[in-house]
Amino acid sequence: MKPPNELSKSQKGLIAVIAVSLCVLIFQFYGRSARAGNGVTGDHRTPVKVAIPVETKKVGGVSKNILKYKDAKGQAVTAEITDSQKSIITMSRAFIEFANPSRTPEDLVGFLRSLNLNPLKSLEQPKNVASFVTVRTRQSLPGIRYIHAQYDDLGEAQLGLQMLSFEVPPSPTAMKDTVELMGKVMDLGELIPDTADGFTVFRNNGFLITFNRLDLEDLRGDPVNAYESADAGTIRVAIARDPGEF
Amino acid sequence: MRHLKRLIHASLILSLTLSSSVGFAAEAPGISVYVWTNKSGFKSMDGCQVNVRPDSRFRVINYASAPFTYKAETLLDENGKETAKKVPRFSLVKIIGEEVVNGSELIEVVGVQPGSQESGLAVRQDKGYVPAHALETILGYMIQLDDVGIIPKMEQFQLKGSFLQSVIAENGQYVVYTCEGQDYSAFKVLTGKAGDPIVPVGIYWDQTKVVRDIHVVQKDEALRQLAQREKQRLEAIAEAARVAAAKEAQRIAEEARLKAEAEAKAKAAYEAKQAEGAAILTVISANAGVGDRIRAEAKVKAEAEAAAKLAEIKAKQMQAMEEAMDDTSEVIDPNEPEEEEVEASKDENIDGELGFVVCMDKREDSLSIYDEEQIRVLFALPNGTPVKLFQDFEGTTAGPEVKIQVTSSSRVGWAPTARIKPFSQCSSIESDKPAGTTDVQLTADGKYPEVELTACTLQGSPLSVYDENFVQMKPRFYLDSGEKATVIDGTLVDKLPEANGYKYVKVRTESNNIRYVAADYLMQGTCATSSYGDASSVETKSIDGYVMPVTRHTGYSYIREDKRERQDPWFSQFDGYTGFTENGKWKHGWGFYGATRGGRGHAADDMYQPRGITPRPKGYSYNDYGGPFVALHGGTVVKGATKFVGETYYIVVLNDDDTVSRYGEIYKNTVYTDKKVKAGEVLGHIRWVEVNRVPPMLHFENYTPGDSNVRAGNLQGSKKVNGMNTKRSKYLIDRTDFVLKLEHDTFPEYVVEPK
Repeated sequence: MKPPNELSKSQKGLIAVIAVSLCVLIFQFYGRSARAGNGVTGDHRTPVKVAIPVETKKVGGVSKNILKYKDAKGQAVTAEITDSQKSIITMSRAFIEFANPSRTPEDLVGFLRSLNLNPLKSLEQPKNVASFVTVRTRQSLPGIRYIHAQYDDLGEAQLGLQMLSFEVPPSPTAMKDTVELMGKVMDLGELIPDTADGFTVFRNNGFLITFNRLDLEDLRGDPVNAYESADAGTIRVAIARDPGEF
Repeated sequence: MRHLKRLIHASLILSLTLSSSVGFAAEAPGISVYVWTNKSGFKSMDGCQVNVRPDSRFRVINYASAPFTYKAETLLDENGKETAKKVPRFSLVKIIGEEVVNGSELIEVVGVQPGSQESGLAVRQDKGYVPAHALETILGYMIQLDDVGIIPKMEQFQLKGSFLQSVIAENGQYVVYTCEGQDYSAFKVLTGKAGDPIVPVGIYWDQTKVVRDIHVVQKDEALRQLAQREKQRLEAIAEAARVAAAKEAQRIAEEARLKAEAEAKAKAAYEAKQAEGAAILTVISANAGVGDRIRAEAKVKAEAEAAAKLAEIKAKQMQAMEEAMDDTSEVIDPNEPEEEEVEASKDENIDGELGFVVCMDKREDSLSIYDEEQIRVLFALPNGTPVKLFQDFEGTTAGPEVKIQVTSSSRVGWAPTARIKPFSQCSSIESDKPAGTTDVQLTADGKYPEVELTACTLQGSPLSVYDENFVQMKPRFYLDSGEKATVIDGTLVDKLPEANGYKYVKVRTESNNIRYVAADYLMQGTCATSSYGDASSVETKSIDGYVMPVTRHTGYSYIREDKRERQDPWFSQFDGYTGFTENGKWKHGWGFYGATRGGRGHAADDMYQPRGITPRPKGYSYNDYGGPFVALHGGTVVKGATKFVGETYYIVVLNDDDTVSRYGEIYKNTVYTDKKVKAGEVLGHIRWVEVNRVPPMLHFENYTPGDSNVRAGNLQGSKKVNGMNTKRSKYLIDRTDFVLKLEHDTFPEYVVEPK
């Protein structure tokens, strides 16, 4: 004879299943909320690590950057590079890291903060469910500037990287040099044919990697970056979600 | 002498008054100033009061939208059509109209800037309209007095080459001398001499003959010239002093020589008499040498210390950069134990749009912008002016001053870093317009009339709205410039919990919300600038409430090549239709719904637009510009300008017919989220996506609003078309047939027999 309020074995089992399910749901809910980035979450997290294949050695009190990469034949190569080149390589690796859908705007902010770039993150919520996050830095790295990222709502309160970009100063070989350097440390993807002069695009696993030589009209119309006419020819390097237009 | 006394008195009063509040000025005794009358020239008037006004009628023609500048502005007639007359850049004009008409001001030419090579130059007293954005205030300029002959009553001041500079009060408003009930715009005369300004003068806006032969100089250049003059003057004084000093030194040296000779004679006599006394003279002489040496050593030491200090600062900067680089230089093992946390700075997170503005303590304050050396004031910016921040390629740490660019005019200068803040973090501004510039007449009891008004900002920026507790509203942060708001309680109230200088009224917005907005931004009629820039209306044809989104025929670019009615030579000649490559990949075209994109399905109807037919807005290139695009149907913008491919953007509109449209490959300058649009309303401009095989096009996608994501403009998903994943929501629909019929009805003259 069971006491009147005592649960049967099957009832206990059912409750246990429900409890576990609830725990899983709650865990998933909070896990997703932390990813969603609608609020200011993760601001004090440990910065995401980005593997950069550059070693800094001090020779006679002078710092030298040594890049390690594999050439077209798969042979390991080392080369001394400048601080500017090191900055481009840093951002190339950031492209790979932060295009990963598991990475949040807060992760990117933490990474930029670890570089002492004074990042800013703005959150726009024009509608109940549509959020838009912009991440910029107040400072630049040697040889590059205007690091800028945008995240938009992928649905179900999930933010995704829409684009991450930086700029390289104008020079006759800036476009070629930048494409070549980045190609040493990342797979740029499939080159899109027949794009305009000064606009090189690679399709890469759901993203486009673009190298855009900014002309005067581009400079004039820019909503956030400040330019003077001497900046014409600046190369804007970006990774952006592929909207399926190329 | 009488003039000089009056002048000193006037200058004293003027300086006291301008360093005080406006209220204090009203209590100041009348002062003596020179005012211009076309009949009598300059005349001295006593008992004038110093007051301030929010604006002046004087403007300088200058349209510069970096990196472009325009050498002249063409005068427009009342219908907005260009006349044959051009007003060169930097010419002085005055506003004679009472309101802005279609974004243009009615002006009269006061003085034409000399040196222009343009043909068909306007002359003094020509009238016409020019775009408001081509008119710059005179704050950044000075007027050089080239011809002393036109100021006959002021010869005694030796004014040739001197400059007239507008007098601005500390609160950024324009100073006027009110003499015998008439307001004279206040100018000070600068000659470059110490003691400037030498005399206060007033010019009545309708009597401007004095500035007939003008030569407007940008303020920084004028200041440079004045500084140069002062430097030359001081150098001349120094040279005179040097010559005098040399003469004096020569005299002293001669005296010293005579004295030394006398002393030598005395010494010799003394030595002859008392040998021990010679040592004293030797010590005196040696001490004189020690003094020189000490002074020289002190100078060297001071210079060395200054150099060491500079080197120390440089070393610290280098060390900071090195440390920053060290942080990035490791090859990091993802499996390594995590390092300690890095603290976020307090102002890292911004709630709202990421745009920077000039942010002063009070709404009416303005900020002086300096040159790179922080010596000369280049111009002043009112509180709330949107600016952009420069970064260099050196990785330099931001200092106490920051290089900025004014968003609207592209002017560049340096400002205190602490005064440049994100818009949403600046509590002293509502938007980008100076105070007191509304045209609304208050009712007899001091309230705003309870009528429909228009929210207007100076640069087209959005305007903040609040609930009854003055909590900024989410998700609806702003009213668009140009949006209607009906006043439902015209009582002017302060912001809670602390007044910020603005007065607010309660309104009902177009979206039927009750909100508080700053009253200064509510205007009668239409705005000079709208939130979507210079997109003016275009001629459209409505077919049962629908309008073709592009204004020119598309050449049926959204139809498969093998099903298209024709390849059109007319269209091709304008570089509007470049055809297709012959390889299999693009065989049936590129722009139709379901075309392949490297295995991804194309989700849009691409509407090609010919280059070179539609007039381009200023600054848009032939190659990139594809003309305006308009709303297919009435609806609400649910997503404003959002980054798309390359340098292009897109918007999403929830249509009133229960569909959702994405308009892609457009310029950033477009409509804001929540804007109510009507069928045929211009939404923005098409921008080329920089693929050679296609011209500029409107990338046009359509959906049914099946879930909240689509209704909010979030269109991602995995819908398949022709077996290919479009990466779009499952609510993506094909409206090609609908668009084709709409195009046939819109351009009936273009319909041809199928090939």
